[in-house]
Amino acid sequence: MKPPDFSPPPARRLFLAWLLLTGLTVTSLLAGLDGFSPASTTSLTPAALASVLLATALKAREILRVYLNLRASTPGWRGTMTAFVAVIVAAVAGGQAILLALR
Amino acid sequence: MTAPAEETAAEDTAAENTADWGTLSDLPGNPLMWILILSELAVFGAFLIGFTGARIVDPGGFANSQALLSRVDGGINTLVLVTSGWLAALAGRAIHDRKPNACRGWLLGAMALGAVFLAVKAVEYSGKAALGIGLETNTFFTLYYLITGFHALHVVLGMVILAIGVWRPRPDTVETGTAFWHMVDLIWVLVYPVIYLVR
Repeated sequence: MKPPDFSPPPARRLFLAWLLLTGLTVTSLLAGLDGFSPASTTSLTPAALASVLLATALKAREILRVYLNLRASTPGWRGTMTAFVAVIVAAVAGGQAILLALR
Repeated sequence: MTAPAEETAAEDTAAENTADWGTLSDLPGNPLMWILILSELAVFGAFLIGFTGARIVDPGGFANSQALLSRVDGGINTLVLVTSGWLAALAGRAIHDRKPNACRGWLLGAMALGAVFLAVKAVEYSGKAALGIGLETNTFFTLYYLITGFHALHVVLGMVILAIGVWRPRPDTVETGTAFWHMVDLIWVLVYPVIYLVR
């Protein structure tokens, strides 16, 4: 059986990953600032919350796949690590859903 | 002529490199680093889920305490760390392309940004201390200091490990060191929104 190729991603792919991570960080910051009010205590709207958490999940996935080179691994490992992150993000989303329901 | 001890060490290293780790062999880099990454994700994941649970118990208190944090500074630190991760990844690419001096440069850049992250964190902590906010102020700040402080310790350790890569830029050393750094990056990407943004 041919051994897996664990060569690091090319510099261009690393740059694109950084660009994506930067864009997602700015997106989540703007969504989380709630209308440019840095010290707001108002709850995030469901759309803003979804934007923050989706950006978080995508950033984690990109770090795993490109920076940690998981794209060169098997679908099983990629799925396992992605699921690990998804469980954490889903638990946070679930907590906020409970808060919304209690309000 | 090679000394017997050196021969044994070389054989051990060769054996490690070709060792069968079972399904862990399907992962890039040192399998032990992946075990560490999974363990750290589990620990910080439990912290963040616990934090979310505590927020359900006291949503008003958590919102008021969170408003005392600088969301922008936290966002800047996220940008600093993901950029540092990019430089660390370029170091891995450089050592793979047999460019040790370029690798050293990228690693030093990654470490410098790690120092910037810690400096921003120090400013943040000193600002809280000036307001009389400490570990025992309330549940939010107890968890905030525990989670971000534990993460900051990982940043310090990561910088030490990257420094070993600068000193001896061997492929296995750089690969393992940068994997640790990416794990620190990954954890912060999860910590930042939960503590600073979600409410």
